[in-house]
Amino acid sequence: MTDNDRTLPAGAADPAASRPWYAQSGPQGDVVLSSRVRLARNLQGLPFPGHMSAEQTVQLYQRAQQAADGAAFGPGRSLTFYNVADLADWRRMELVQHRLMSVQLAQKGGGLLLSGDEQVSIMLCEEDHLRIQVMNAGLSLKKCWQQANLLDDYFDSRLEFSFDEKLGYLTHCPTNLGTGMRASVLMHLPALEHTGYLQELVGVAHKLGLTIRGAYGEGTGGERSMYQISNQHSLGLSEGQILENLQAVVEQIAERERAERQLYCKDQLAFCDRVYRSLGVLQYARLLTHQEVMEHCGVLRLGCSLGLCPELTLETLSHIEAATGTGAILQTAPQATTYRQQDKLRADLVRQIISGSAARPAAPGGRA
Amino acid sequence: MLCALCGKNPAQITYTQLKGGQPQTLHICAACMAKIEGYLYTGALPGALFDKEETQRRCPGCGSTYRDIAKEGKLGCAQCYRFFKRENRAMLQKIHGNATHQGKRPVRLAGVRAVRVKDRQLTQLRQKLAGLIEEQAFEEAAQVRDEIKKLEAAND
Repeated sequence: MTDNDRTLPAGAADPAASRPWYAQSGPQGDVVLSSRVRLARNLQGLPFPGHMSAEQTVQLYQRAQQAADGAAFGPGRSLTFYNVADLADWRRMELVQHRLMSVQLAQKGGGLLLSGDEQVSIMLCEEDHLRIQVMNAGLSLKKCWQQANLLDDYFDSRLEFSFDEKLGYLTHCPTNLGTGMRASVLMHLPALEHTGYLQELVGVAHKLGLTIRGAYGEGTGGERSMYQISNQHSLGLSEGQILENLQAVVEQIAERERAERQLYCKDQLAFCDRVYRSLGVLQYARLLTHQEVMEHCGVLRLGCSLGLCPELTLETLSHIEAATGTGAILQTAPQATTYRQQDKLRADLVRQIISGSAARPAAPGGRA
Repeated sequence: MLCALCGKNPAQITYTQLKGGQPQTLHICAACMAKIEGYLYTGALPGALFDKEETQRRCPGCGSTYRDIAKEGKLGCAQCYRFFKRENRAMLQKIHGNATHQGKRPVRLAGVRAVRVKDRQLTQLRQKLAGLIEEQAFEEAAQVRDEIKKLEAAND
């Protein structure tokens, strides 16, 4: 098989899946929001990004773009290059919100190769030369790994990554040596947070070879009960072992969360009241901040997963969350420069989505 | 007496470490002691402070000294791993123990040097054995030891 014969699975062929992955709900979507596999890779013969000259950085961008140009990626799934410094503030904000770019890259600048469906993002000159990321909705680690693995082989055949038989892929930070892989899953764990089990789990996670932290990575808290669970070790285990371990623990946590949710919402009438108050706010408010939307969506997620709110689906909630970020609002209405204008547009949009008359988000490609 | 490292502040602390079994002593100020603690925190050997030659060796790939690496806890280029192999050992041991790479290899290297599956299995089994001994699970450890022997015999 030649490299050009290698195509990635075309995940976006289904018209129902035309919205980006972050506006969808996937397997085990009641607890698991999304999965991500990230591979850290560095080119031979070039110092790591912090030690590169401006000339070397430009050369790296060019080489990565040339390599990406021929990527056999399935119909309509080519990678487009963006210089982060040239992106509008709202776009950077949106990419960070959807975890397609790290906060670090958004702040210090670098390059970004992004697929049209936004499932694949390759950060250039972040901490490593390439950080290949594949993301999908729900618990879909294997799917992410298959795509990331193909992309890794594809880019390695063109760029030649630094590799050592004992240490594996060589990375800027020695904690990423070996597979260079971080597999992570974003989970919604309000019940486990409430019972205190989650705090216990955070303390013992390292014994399971895992790290539990806030939704936006290192140093962030569990905002709205969202937690990111990822592998701690990248050396000494194969990619398959890392994924199996993570998948098994995530499934157990999800089971426990479901069981605790029943107890957490024991007073069904009171919880139902809370859920419908949230629905009422989203359905009738005329001004909404993004934080408010996310908080109410969190309550409604729990309500939907317990079958207490037939008016909404998890899919709709993912859509609302994705479409109402400040970045997304500014994309459709760049003239809305004040918070009040943005809050009004957000409230209008939420009502439209709930009533089912909202237009789908524009195709994600070419929004820079 | 002035600090032996910065030569500016008065020396208030006596810092001693063993090198090759021999104690080496430095009289240093509080600010330099704080730096040494920083190196210890990042897992680097403060031995670099005693050995000027060591601190001046620069990686041909990126120009980093080991002091730079120890300060940041991160390497300057892929070549640093080989150039500072001896110095990196302690840091890598601290982070990864004795683990070696078990994951994928670049496809382009497949024909260059085939990985011996048995060697990998042996490494894994030896790691498992060490863990079992630590947990005092001797019965299971004996089984793993036999497995290792069997595999070693097959290798010969």
